[in-house]
Amino acid sequence: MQPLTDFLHFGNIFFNDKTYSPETIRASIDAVAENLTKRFISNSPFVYLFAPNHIKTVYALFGIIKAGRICVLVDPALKHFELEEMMKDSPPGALIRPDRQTDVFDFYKEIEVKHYQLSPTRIKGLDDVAIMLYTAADDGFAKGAMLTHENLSVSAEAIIESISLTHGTVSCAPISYHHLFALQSGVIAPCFVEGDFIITETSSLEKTRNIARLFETRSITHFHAVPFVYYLLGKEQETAPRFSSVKLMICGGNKLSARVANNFKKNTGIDIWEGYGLTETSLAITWHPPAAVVYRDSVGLPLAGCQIRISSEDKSDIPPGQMGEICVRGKTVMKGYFCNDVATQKVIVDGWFHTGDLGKIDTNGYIHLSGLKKRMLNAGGNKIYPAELERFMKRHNNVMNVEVFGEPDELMGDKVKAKVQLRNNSPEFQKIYREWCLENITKYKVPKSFEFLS
Amino acid sequence: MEDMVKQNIFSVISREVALDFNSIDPNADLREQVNMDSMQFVAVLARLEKEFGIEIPISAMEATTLNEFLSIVGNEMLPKAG
Repeated sequence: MQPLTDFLHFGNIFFNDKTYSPETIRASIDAVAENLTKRFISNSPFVYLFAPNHIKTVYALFGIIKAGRICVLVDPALKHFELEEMMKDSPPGALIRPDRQTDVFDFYKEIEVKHYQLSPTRIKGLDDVAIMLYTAADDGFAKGAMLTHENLSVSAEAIIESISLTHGTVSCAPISYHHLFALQSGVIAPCFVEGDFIITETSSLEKTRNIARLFETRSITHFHAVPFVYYLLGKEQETAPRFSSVKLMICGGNKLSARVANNFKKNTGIDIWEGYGLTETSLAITWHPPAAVVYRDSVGLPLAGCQIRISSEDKSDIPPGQMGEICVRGKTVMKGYFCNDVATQKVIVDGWFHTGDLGKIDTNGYIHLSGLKKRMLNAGGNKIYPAELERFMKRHNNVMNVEVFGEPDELMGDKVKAKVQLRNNSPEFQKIYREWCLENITKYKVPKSFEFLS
Repeated sequence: MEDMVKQNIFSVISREVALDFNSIDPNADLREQVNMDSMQFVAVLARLEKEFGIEIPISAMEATTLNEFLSIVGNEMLPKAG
């Protein structure tokens, strides 16, 4: 097993109007690795990284992996309901919470060492795991998807080949770094080829609109974003000249509507390319290669090294043109869910990962998505499992019943809504309940609208 | 602005966030009053465009009060001369 960090060849990183050289990046990663190694007292291989889009997230990610630990990527806005369940499942040896105000780690302030001792059988055979992300809570409980060094490096190589990433390219992925889409395409893949990249985010409208300026000041060549960013960028004044350096604009997270894509093309002259992938497949499994015909209703062709087939309920093959479950096989498919053989064996059957997504392969080999077999909502790239959310929302003692559902939204994919039955259903208690949800459940999961049933 | 246009805009916004328009101060920051984040605000604009077949200018992003927002969006929804 060759560690992911063996493949890294850094270019420059641009963050907050500063340029970080390869020497600075390497030294900072080494410092994180050294500090972790020196201070670790637990036998847990896990280090939780609360990952804002920040230079220190890059240092910490590679520092954790270089120290031989497993980086558990965590949304920095995660609330305690989710966090307490994750920590029970995979108690960490350390937690890293980067302070956004500085660009150099204060290790004793930002790295909290834990003393958990895990049963050796629980952590056996994890040497090849580099990153773990909690996902797939279709039964109400999130599972840790284990991605190996090989998964991530094979996936990065496939991305590099597909989008012609190289030394001199400038990537930008303004998507939260606790999502693999941002991390793989905007950080890991560029770091394989000495590519430069920009760290930025879309946490406010002002920051999102500022991205348009970055195209001019940093000459972005490869841009990865979600539909709502393209919607806004397409509206900026005199956008076309700004994009003169662009080689590829890529959309992921959720489906790009034809209206947004066409408006963007009309205003900028640039096509947006789409792919498809999941956390469990280390990101992309399909892609519209630049030389291929773009079919807007398709997510493209399988990436190099990925085999895709469509499966029936009884796991047999379905011929081209007919709908079934999309299944993937290849070196980018995760090792499994941490300490959950039942869930792993349910989704990985004879080496094929069953995505839970429904679709078909057309006669030209293009993949078309048509729906979900699993009960999941996608809000702007954030995956929300109604079963998990309903379980959390029922923890309030004034709640009798909760039903979470989605309403289609052009930019966000799904808008999360809930029907709630309270014991005391007065307006005052409805307000208290809404506030309680925001306090205890991660914000993007909290329904945007509540229907209180009497 | 015509009342119907105003009602249409209200109807789209209220599908995004729960609110009582009678309690909204039309001259104070709208997003603060209804606890609408920037993504929701953008989603409202996109929904208005899609539902009413209009293109809302980027200047709508700078609107902070309900009155400013209604003025920009309402302008696009009114029939254009010529």
